[in-house]
Amino acid sequence: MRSRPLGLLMLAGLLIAACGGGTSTSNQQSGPKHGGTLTVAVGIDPDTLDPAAQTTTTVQQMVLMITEPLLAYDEKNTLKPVLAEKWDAAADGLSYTFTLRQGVKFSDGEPFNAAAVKFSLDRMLNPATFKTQPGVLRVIKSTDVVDDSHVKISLKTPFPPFLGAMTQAVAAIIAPNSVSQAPNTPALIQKPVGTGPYVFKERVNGDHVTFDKNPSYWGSKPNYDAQVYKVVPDAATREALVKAGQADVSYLPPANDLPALQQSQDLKVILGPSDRTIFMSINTPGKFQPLLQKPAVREALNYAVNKDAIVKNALFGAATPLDAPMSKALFGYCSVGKYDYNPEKAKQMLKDAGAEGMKIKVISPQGRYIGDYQVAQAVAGDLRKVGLQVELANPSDWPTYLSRMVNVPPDQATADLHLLGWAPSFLDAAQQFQIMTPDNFPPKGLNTSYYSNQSVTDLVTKANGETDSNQRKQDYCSAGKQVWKDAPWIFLYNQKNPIVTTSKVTGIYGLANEQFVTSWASPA
Amino acid sequence: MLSYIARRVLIAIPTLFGVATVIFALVHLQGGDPARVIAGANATPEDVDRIRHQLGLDQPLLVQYLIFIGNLLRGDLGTSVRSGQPVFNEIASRAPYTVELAVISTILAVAIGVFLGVVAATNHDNPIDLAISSFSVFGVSMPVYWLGLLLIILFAVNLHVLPAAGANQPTGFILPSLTLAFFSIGFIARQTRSAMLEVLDLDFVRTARAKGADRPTVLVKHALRNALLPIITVIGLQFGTLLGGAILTETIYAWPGLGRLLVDSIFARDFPVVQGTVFVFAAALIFVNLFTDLLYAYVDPRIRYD
Amino acid sequence: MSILASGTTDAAPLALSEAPPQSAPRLWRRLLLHNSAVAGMILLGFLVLASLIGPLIFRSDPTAQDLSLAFLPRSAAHPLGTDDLGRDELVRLFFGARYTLSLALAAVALGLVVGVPLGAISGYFGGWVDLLVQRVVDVMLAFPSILLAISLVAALGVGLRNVIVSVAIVAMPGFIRLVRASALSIREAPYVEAARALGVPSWRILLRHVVPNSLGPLIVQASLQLGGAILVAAGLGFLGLGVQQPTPEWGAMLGFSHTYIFSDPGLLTYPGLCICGAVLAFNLLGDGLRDALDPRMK
Repeated sequence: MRSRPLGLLMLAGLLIAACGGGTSTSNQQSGPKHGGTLTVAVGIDPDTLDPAAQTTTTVQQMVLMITEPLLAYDEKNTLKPVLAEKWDAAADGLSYTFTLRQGVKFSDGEPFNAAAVKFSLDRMLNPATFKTQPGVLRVIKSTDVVDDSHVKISLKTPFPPFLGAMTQAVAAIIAPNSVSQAPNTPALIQKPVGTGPYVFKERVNGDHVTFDKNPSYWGSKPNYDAQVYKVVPDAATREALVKAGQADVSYLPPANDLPALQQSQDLKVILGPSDRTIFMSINTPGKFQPLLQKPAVREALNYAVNKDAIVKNALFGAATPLDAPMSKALFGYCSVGKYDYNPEKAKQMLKDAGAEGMKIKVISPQGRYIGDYQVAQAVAGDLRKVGLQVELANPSDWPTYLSRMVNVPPDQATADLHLLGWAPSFLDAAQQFQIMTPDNFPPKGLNTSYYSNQSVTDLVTKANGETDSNQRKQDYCSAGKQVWKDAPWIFLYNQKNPIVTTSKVTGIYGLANEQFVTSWASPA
Repeated sequence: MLSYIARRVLIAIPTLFGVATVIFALVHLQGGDPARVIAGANATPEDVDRIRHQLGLDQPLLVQYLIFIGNLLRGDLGTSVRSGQPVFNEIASRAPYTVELAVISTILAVAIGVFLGVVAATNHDNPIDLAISSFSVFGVSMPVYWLGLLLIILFAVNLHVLPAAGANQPTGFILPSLTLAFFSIGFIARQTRSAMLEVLDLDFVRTARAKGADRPTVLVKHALRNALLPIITVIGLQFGTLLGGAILTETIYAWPGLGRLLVDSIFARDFPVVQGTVFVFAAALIFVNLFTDLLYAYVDPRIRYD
Repeated sequence: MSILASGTTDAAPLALSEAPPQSAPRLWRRLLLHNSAVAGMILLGFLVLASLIGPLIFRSDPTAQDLSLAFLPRSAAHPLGTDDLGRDELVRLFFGARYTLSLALAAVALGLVVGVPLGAISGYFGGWVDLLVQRVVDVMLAFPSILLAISLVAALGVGLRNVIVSVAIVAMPGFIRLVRASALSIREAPYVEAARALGVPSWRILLRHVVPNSLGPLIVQASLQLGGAILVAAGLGFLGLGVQQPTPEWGAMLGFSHTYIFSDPGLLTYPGLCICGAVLAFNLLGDGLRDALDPRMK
């Protein structure tokens, strides 16, 4: 990747944005209201607030209110500076130098500097840190302090998606001294201290996490004095809270309530973007149904399924049908076409391939993705309409589904088709193609259709190490086209994430990594 | 009496050991690789292996069992794989909420249940009795979480008078404890009614009445006191129901107690927490049963134990 | 009493075990005189009838689904509307009566089949067998019943069969205790000793005397457990650990539709009322049976 003198420009953009939504003292009257407490009902009880151990979107969102990474994605899915003002990639792609924001302090008063960055990244890469999740950031060889405001990160191999990977919560910067303040230990942080717009106030396990406004935040000041994230596992109760006015925001209402909620005067539905693709993974080796080895048969399955109807009836509009084997939000996306709903064509193709009345078994989880089992049933129904003999197995809960039925070596596959969703942890096609190359056959990875095409593997391998970003984009695009033709999946849709807010709140927005940003919310 | 207590306590020890063994077996029969679930869908195989090793899941089952029992004997319940906290701390931070619910529900259930039972018995075979009896039999027939949702809609969404969920408001306990008590109210009312009916028929109560003692005195001093025995048994029995009911009630009302901890941990495959929580539930129940029996012996000195 | 109230303690009086066996016609007469028993029997009769006849009238498949028909309101074609997958709610309720009642019956029957012999042997022979069985029962009773059911289902896997097995295991200790107490009480009875002296084999004594002696309380307990079994299945259904889709068991129907409480509350109300009705029927019947079997009641 080339150097990014854009950093300063982006900073300027951010400042403008900050003023637009902001609290600059000069236009106080026209600025947003502030004060009070924002109550957000979420379904997930955080496992841990330790930035290094983050796996769950909702928890990452909470952690990122307190701690910040060097850079982040904005609403347009482009990288924006946060704690780094700019960054330069070395020509060989083996190192990145970050220029850090000056004058920033952690909420405990420690200065933010290159040493803090090194400390945080080293800690994240240290296996002694509890449940640490470096993932792709294992590519980091070393982090070196150049001077107080510059830090140089060296990689083991060139890794062009590196900047995207650095937006993850695991790469958030924590105050070095805070890790030895009880109850924190270097191995496990319970009260993160960072530079974020809010500071950790208290957590009652299983009930809520409270954040207080960070009065000395370096950027645009948050509007609510406090935010309470309430843990409410039951979706009906969560919706009741926002209907009763006891919460301002409620996550993931049942999809079928969306139409009514959208019409309500007191409530607003926000359909947040998501990089999650939902698909029916096809057993391409044809373990049970050898006919599935034929790309033409798999294409026919794609023509047989009415994606628009599924989005409308099972997801109540909270999705868009796929036009590539990845979400639009990813770097490397290009539209490659559509499998229009055409049951006649599907029938003909099946007939030509000798697959008329083919028997297939379909499995699906329930409660993992929005309307998942309904979607599986709709797919099964559509496939029956083109004459296939479809057996839809009973749904299973996610852990069983994942570890017993889906993430298993090819010889232990349990079905011909299975419903799956994949959400890259950062917005880069490299993350999406992880599940389309043979080195990620289960149980190593989640290439659960056991799809393998040498030309795709080559393109992806090349792109993953390509430092020219235009070339990289092109390679991913070509790989995507090939995957689309090979049809290892029935390509379904790109999910959206619904949340409900009362009309008393404004300024909440979603990001493609499925996080919602409530830090800049304000009373309407 | 003392030897009876000693015997009961001694029996509790192998029971607890059996409980621990059953828990271990059940937990490890569970499907789903916990390391995989904990690591998250996007984790690399190395992440999963490392977590599996951290959890000791790469050890033979027998070794895991011996470690579990050994730690248990030393009072160590292990470390949560979700949060990295000692299981003991996790349980200690949640237990007060469940105890709060259980105690308030028990008080509610006993107060309302005994009252209804006495009223029903003294109005034997008239419409009041019928109404109370219908209510109580209905109370023990309703799925607890359905009732919970209905109460949320009524009191929180429609009437806006009570919080729908959570423990961080002073009135947050009302709906969950009421829901939890509902089953027991019906149960206790029914038992009280029949116990009272039996006693009211007995000679000494009739005599007291004939001697001109006023109605409340007869009821409380003579009848209720003698009906106390079966009522205490029932209250003891209800404790298990309350603990069990807490699992569903806490999930509906987002109440941060042990029941929710258990359900969350089952779904997250957090084996140490599942084991620890179930063990604490079982130990609590054993203790309460023991206590009930002893109380029983105390209230009715006629009962001899040998 | 019901399955939900686990933990019958040692000292708890098993008053019923002393009830002498009654003749069937007499019992029947007493039941008919008992208001709640009659109410329970009528309700139960209605449910059984519905489970038998309903599916004959509405011949459509309770699992046939069409997403374009989802969440339809009440109409002539669908008297109670359709559910989230476009299945006819009334048809599902009728079939649900079958599944729900059979689930309860199967679970309690399984509990009886294992529990009664265990209890009889344990009480009649005493000694180490008794000690062993009683310690096992202690362990089972140490778990709140829904908790035991949850743990069992989590371990065995979800689904109709495993729910039945789990509920049966939960119901078992009650039966074991009951039969054991009854066996203990007649072990030394003259007629049993006489039979023993005559060389009657133990299994015959168990079958002829021990089990019949506990029949009354067993029937009461079984009736109450039937209601309890339905409630436990419903609780499992709420947690997603019960009978699975597409089986139209009421508890599962209630559990899987609970998020529709705002958009389509009928999907909760109907199965909820059905569960209530069935449990109510068993409870009323159990009460009636207890009173009818109680020699002190006139």
